Amino acid sequence: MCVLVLLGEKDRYGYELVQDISARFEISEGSIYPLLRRLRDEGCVSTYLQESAEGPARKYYSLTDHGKKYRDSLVLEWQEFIKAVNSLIEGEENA
Amino acid sequence: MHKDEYLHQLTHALNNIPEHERTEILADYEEHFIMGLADNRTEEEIAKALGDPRTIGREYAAISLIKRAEENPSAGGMSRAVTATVGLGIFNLLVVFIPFCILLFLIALVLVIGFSLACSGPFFVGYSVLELAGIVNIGLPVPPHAGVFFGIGLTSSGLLLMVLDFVLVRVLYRLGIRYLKWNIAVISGRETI
Repeated sequence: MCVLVLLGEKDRYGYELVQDISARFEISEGSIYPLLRRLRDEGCVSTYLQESAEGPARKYYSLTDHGKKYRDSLVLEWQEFIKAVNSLIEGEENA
Repeated sequence: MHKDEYLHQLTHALNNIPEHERTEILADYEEHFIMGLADNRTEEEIAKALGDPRTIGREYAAISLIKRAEENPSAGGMSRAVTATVGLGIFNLLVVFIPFCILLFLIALVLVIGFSLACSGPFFVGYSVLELAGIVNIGLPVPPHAGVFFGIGLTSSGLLLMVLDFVLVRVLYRLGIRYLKWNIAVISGRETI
């Protein structure tokens, strides 16, 4: 979900995406590539190569229309979950 | 671990998946190393942050095998996909391998029952006819007239059971693939990431 949200902002290349994610979560950087591959196989993201000023061509990832819909449904699900958990915690405190 | 050593181990872990996929995956990690070096990190730091290449390789292999089992349904393909998924963690022995074996056993059991029923029908009809003709008298549990129909019924229900079993296998196959995909996403805790 977070990968999809990040890609929703703008297209990113693999390394950039991995850095953004691993800065926030405790996850080995190498396991984000399998995730990206799975998302591509499922048609949520597409990839393209683009030359860069320094170094070799970079593989960019971009969110597809299908990916956008999937992201929206995941975000909604997440918000509802958080809301339910929060109301439960607040309910406990009031009791 | 250095870049070359890392990529070498990853290549080794990926030897079960098709050549073009392997090349693509390795290119991703090679690009990662190049970017990391440009980012003033050392090869050791990058390799450490990436994580164990064998674990990563096993996950790719499982994903690739599941995809192949989905595109070309076959018993062998499914077994390989299940085995690869089980290899991702001991916990999967419990939630993937054992249920898979139980289902396989039930499917085979239904098939055997259906087959036996279907085969016993003609014998039943045969004996009933012989008894009607007065050639043998083996004392069937039902009157010979009913026996003919009972035999036909047995064969029909046996065949029906076998057909249902095949339908069941197809449904379970699709559900199984979905379950394996879901399993991989969940055990790595990456639904949210």
